[in-house]
Amino acid sequence: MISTAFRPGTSLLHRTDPRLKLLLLVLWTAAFIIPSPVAVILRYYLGVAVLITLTIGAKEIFPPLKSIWPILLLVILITPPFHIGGTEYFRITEWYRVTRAGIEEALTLVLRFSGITSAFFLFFRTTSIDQFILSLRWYGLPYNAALVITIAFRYIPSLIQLYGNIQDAHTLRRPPLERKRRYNPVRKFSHIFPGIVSVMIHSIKSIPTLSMALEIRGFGLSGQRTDYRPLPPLLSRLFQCGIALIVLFILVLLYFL
Amino acid sequence: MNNENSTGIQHLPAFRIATLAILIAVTTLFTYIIRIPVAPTRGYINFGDVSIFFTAMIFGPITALITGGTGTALADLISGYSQWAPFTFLAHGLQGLAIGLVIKAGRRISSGAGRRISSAGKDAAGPAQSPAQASAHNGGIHKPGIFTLLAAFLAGTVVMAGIYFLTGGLMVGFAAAAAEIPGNILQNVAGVLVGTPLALAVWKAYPPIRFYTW
Repeated sequence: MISTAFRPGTSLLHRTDPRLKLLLLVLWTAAFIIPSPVAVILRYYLGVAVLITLTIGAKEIFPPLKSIWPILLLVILITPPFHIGGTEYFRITEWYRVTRAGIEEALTLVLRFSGITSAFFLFFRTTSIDQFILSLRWYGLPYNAALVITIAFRYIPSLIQLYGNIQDAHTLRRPPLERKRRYNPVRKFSHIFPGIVSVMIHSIKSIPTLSMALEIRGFGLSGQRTDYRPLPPLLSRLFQCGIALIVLFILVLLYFL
Repeated sequence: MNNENSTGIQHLPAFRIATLAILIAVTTLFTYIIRIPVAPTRGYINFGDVSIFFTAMIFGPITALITGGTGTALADLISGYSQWAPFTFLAHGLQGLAIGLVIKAGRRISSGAGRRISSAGKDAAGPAQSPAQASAHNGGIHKPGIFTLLAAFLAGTVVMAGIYFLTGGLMVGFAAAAAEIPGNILQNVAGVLVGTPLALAVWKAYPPIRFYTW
């Protein structure tokens, strides 16, 4: 199984029902996207940062921001000229003017994107992919779709290894001097293409075998499907449902404060 | 396996599940692992769109919709960009659907003109097809014409870049989202230029694949 951002742990969010976490993630993302003043977006972001600090540690606030800093920089640089209003702070050219409206808009976009990224990071850091798929099943994802995703996740590591083996084999077939030449994208492509043809053919050839394996295991037979690792009834987790409602209430309250 | 040469295999539920799962894994591999750095921009071209073009050409629009969207979204989940996964699913899924529909329409138009490459698998496929099988399923390979490919490229690019622009505009503003458009166009160029020869190479090397369209 290929690894995602999930790290096992015992924090409050690790023990929270994934269905509730998914619902809160969707609602928190929607709250970020709804047009709001920058002060409101800042509160939402601080709410996510506080949640990260309390559950998985303050040092986990920075990894999601580290992965998106080029986009944040682009937003800061490129947004102000398109939003002109209020006090002008400085101008570089006649076209590039930095005003109060531009800075507020840039801050809103930076906080929005950082907040959504951090919220998704927190969710997938504390939720394994199995739990995520089970919660999607509870929300109505068909059994076949969940099966497809699960099988794909299990095939990805073997395909990565296959591709690596094929590329190594092709590299060994090239003359030693050619391996040490300066980088050239066209040459790189000519080296990659035979490998991807081989990977594609090998993958497609495994389709009939996999489908036979599914049929041998009874796939396609009529009858009720069994989940061997079902999630417990949501009502058995009344305390967590109460906490989720309180969080929703705080979300609404932050908008009106 | 005899079933490899049978018509109708693509309609079996287990076969469809297996096809989708394998192609999703391939798309994720192409998006996440197979990349060519582009030195001037310090960026890279990933081969996710290559896989989408390939799937649309060989397996059809519905398969391309599901595998293109899911494969690229899974790549986002694995690589730490999970916030883009829902939008990636939408953009690349609809991109695959658009490309597949255009190629399908192009083949219907050109099939009347009789532009057909004789089946490369007629000799290698083993037992000859019965007349019923031959009439039930086209054993030939329909190579898409240049105009079909161009139309598919345009459709895929407009859909993919357009959805990324709109959703990116919500997240990072439309000015920053517009800056991503050239990169998305370049991805689609790589997709059609590499995906087409890839499809032709696989068609030639593995003839039973002609029965896998649905």
